[in-house]
Amino acid sequence: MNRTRNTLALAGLAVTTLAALSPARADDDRFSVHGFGNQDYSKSTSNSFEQSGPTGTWDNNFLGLVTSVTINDKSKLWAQLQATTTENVRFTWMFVDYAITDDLTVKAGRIKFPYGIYNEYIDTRALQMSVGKPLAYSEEADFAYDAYNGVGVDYNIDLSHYGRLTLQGFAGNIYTPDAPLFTPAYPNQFQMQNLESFTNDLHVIGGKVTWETPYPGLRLLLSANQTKVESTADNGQIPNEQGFENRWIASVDFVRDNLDVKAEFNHHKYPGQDGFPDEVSHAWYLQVGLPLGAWTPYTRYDSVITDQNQSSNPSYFQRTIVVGINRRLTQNMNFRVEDNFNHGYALPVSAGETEIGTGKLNWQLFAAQLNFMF
Amino acid sequence: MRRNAIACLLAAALLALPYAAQAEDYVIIVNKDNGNAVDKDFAAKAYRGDVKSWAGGGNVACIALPDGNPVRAAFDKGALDKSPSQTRALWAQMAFSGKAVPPKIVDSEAEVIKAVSDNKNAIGYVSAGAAVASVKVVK
Repeated sequence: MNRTRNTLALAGLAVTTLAALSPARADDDRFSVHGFGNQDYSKSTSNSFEQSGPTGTWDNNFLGLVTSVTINDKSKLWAQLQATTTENVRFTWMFVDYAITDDLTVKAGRIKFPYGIYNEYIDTRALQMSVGKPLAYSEEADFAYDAYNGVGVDYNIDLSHYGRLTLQGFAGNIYTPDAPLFTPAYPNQFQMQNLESFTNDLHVIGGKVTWETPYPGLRLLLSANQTKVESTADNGQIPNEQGFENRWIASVDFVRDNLDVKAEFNHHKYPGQDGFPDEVSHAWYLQVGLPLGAWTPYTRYDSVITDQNQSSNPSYFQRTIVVGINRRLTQNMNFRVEDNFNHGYALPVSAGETEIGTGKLNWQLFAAQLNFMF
Repeated sequence: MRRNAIACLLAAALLALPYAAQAEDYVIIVNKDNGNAVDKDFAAKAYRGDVKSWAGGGNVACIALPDGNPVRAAFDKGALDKSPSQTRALWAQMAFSGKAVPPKIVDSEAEVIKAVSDNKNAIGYVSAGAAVASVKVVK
């Protein structure tokens, strides 16, 4: 019933959007609206993940509308409305900005989480290289969030011959559609005791530095944040544990005419609870795409270890080689197919879709995607 | 050896010609009543979303030609050092990240000139030979 309602909402939003929009839609300069979407098909040989099992799924899709309303010369309201077949229609983010100067902007509301390269426009698949996101950006890896409720500040520094620096700082609470946040994979000790953990009141503080280097197309980024964690277990054995969860990600982004290279390294530390040690997880990837006219072949090596203490256990590590090709159908529409060759099944375990110790060590995930933006 | 060197130089010069011609193919225009100091560097920053307002007040309203227009290609290459597809991706990133509103796309140079002459805060570009009496050309 829910899925039917969501599918209808998705279809309704799509029809409304397509009817309302055209590329030159800017007759009122105070209001702008842009949209994007994707429909995937994916099928795995084993280890059910992201609703994709041996029978395949069409449930991975997204339709987003981004609107901006000019309040005055200094201020705009921004919002992204999203619809999928598996979630209720909601605002992914929605905030008001105020430009104190051209280089100094403050924001308040539900704001996109500044973290790495992909989180800049993580939902817009048409702007990305592959069907799937790097493992570090999978929700199950627990490195990155969509948004936070709070305040943020962006400050740009023109370095003249040395490029441009953007400094971002923020503070608030992590936004998740369903509170309290359920973290099935973290901490590991909860799973070992067959408990569920709930983390509440996720105050977050963090920042991001982006350096657009003088070398054309090369950006270097560093993002870090800390969240306060209050954990309880469902049987009350580990009540009200508190600690701090730390994350950082270092990124290299290089995009030129016929080359697109991205590489990122993530570090995540979850506080140990009830005498258990801290959980440290790492993820990194290297991705290369070679645009050749309308075709872009791409590949990515991706690695995640969700608990360094269990780094040789396939329930806690996953290494993936992605090989795919993108075909640009029109200026704003792409079709792409890829195969993911996986070793280990950490994310299916983190997602709760595959049981610890019961997955297949080597498995494949085939995925195809049609995406668009306007 | 010398013949090869001359051939290489000739080939390089021939290859460079289209770009040299392309770089001269457009002029940047603003509204006649716009008293702000504007140069090509300012225009590039505005189209990249790095500059959003005029020094004298008001939001910069960038007007652009569509993909496939040769003047658009010349401007994107000459001012932004990007291809039209890269520029399109940049503008989509601006819009979908909530950073800045991308330029308004109009269909023709005549529409660019009309949009700029109608809006004090607008900036645009047209081919060097276009009739620009109703707007101000940026030197």
